[in-house]
Amino acid sequence: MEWVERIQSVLKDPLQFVRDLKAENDQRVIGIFLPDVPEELIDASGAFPVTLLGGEKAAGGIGSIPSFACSLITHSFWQATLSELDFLDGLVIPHLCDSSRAFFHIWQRNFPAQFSDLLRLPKKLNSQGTKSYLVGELRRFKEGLEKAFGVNISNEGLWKSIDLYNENRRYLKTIQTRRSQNFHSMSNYDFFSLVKSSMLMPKGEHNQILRKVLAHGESFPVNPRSTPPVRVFLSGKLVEPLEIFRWMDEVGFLVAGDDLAVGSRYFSYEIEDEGDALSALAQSYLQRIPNALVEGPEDRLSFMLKKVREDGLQGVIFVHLKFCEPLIFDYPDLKKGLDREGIPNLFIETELHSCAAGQIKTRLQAFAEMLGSKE
Amino acid sequence: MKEASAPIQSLSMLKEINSQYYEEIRHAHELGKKIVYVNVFSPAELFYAMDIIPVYPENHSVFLQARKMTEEVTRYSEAEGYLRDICSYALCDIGSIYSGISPVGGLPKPDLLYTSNCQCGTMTKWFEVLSRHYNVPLFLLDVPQPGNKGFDPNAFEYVKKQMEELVTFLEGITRKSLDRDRLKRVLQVSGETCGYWKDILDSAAQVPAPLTVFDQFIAMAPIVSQRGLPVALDFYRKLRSEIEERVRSKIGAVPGERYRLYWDNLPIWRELRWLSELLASFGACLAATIYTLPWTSLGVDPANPLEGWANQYLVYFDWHLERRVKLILELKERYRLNGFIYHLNRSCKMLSLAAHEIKKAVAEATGIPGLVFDADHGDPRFYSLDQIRHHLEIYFEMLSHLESSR
Repeated sequence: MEWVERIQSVLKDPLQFVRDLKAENDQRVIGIFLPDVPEELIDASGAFPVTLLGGEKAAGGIGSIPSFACSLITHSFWQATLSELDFLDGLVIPHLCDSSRAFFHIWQRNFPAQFSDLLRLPKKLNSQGTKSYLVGELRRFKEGLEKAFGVNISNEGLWKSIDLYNENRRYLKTIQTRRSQNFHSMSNYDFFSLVKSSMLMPKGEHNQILRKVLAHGESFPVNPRSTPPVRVFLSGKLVEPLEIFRWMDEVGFLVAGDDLAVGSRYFSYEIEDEGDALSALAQSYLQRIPNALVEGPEDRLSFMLKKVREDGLQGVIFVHLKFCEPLIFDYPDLKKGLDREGIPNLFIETELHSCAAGQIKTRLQAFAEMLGSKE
Repeated sequence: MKEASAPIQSLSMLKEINSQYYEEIRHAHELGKKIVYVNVFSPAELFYAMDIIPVYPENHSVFLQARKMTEEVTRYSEAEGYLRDICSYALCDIGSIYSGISPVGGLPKPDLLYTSNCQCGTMTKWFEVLSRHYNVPLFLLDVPQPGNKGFDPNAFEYVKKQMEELVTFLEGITRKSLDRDRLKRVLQVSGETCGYWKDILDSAAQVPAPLTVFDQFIAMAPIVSQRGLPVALDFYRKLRSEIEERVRSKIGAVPGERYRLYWDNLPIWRELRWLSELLASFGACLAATIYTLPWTSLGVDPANPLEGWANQYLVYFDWHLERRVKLILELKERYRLNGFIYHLNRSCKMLSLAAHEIKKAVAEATGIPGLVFDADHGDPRFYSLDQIRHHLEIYFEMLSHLESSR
């Protein structure tokens, strides 16, 4: 599989991939943080938005950021102090949690010359002022990009970017649905490699890859399993290291639904043609799947229960990034809600590129066996 | 050990003020009043004007922590699945709810909840837990603070709109319209009280300082929870007179005051006495802190309160890195500070994440080194008194060398 190799080479060293890309295309690169930064606006400005998801080289980093920030933040800071991120022309951080906001100001102080933006997405979706605020905030962000880089982002240009991103989201969603219906179609590891790589690669090339994946049709030889898998819902923000998906494959899980930022929250919506592109971007934000950081129309438990029931899932696995406070606060009530409904669930805590592999494998194995024996 | 200064007499009023407050909230419904749980930076005056008594889970946790009950109550929240990595206020409060353990007989069940993320994001998540537990509505005031990008009219309109929605929400709950004249009167009392608080804090600029930051920590409960009520006004008026008298008589809070320090972040509630005695033994007086400062400026224009609050939450409470550095440098001049202590508070990511950067910036600007040390505002499992003492010994030795070399 040619595409598998391409994706794996990107995932092996994403920063090098972006560095090479920048040298080849002479294109500006803007780093973004999870979740929900409207990449379409950055794309329409002619720059390439790349999601910062840590990296192995951060491990030896220096820099004085407290150890009780999540590893997504400490890794990015250490990478920056090691000049690993010096290819960036700017950084955009959505202010959703306290740590990301503090990190933004630390970044700004250390790299004052660079373009940087604290994007303040609304956390309350039921105020009458929410949408108009959000449109205004997106406009401010757009004008900031235009001013910093001397470009003009037209409504037409923005729609072109939206179409490109919509295509990518649609493909990922189709693949997700297909694998949920046919467990031969693709392993967890390959699927989430596709999702993660979408955040690291230009959408044009990624769409080409996804078209090839889809052209393979129903039976995809990457996941030659003979027994039906144990179908589960995955909850959290991101699952790192990605090897965790391999372990899930090995013990027979199929992740058939999720609420991850590096998962369904990234691709399970499409931006509908409304004329004004900023208004359309805003509208899509108001209708996404629940997120621990936004007080949305649907709570996380209802969403989880609906998925589990509608798709006939057998259990829920929580994968939390250590020190992510919003997730910790939600977990006990989510667990109670699942327990009440008799839905088995498992809790795993990880840090980027450092987790207790043996222990996690054992617990996944035991959970799979428990669910398997319930059949 | 140097001889301790005469204690501040007015502080002894607090016990009675507090027990009255808790007595009143226990009987709120009999008095025809509702109970709202709120975060500390909330429009207390609006609630009081609508016969809704604001109750502060944060303050309740301070009691639990100061009375050394953290380990006892957090066993219960941890058993419910809450990890120690969240704010210890929340961990204690939730543990107290599940165990019923409380030094003040627990908090009465709320009728509604209000919180704002102008303070931190933790409050929202904590209050969502409370909202599910008590099955009562939660009003979130979403405040998108712009950082150092300057005033943002779009964000201001959004917050103002929500303040209007808050009033409608409260009117729905109480089935009464807001009496704007009554609100005005409460705001006048509140403004005056904040003025007293400001005078009290300003007096620490005197040499020797008549009170320390520890005294401020102890004295702050009424300005948080009873701001706008005559009882708070009366207390701070008396406290201010006594402090003025101390200034006139040149009574310093720390005998032989040698160091005048800035304290960053929250107190370590459980160790107030230990730490104040330890610092006094070095001749060190904590003269200023960011933590008690906000209440000097909480007054809003009684003629235009909703806009006043929107502006306050959006602009005044936006304590980003650059602004904190600027504040500390101002405080250094105003209070004649010669040392800076930064409590790296594991519970408060909001105030702690940039501590090292702030320390670096202040040291560069003043030529005076700062001390960052690890602790927690309420969970003793995350610090060691021996280590803190050790850090302080080294720090004062360093300051002493610096002093003699100048």
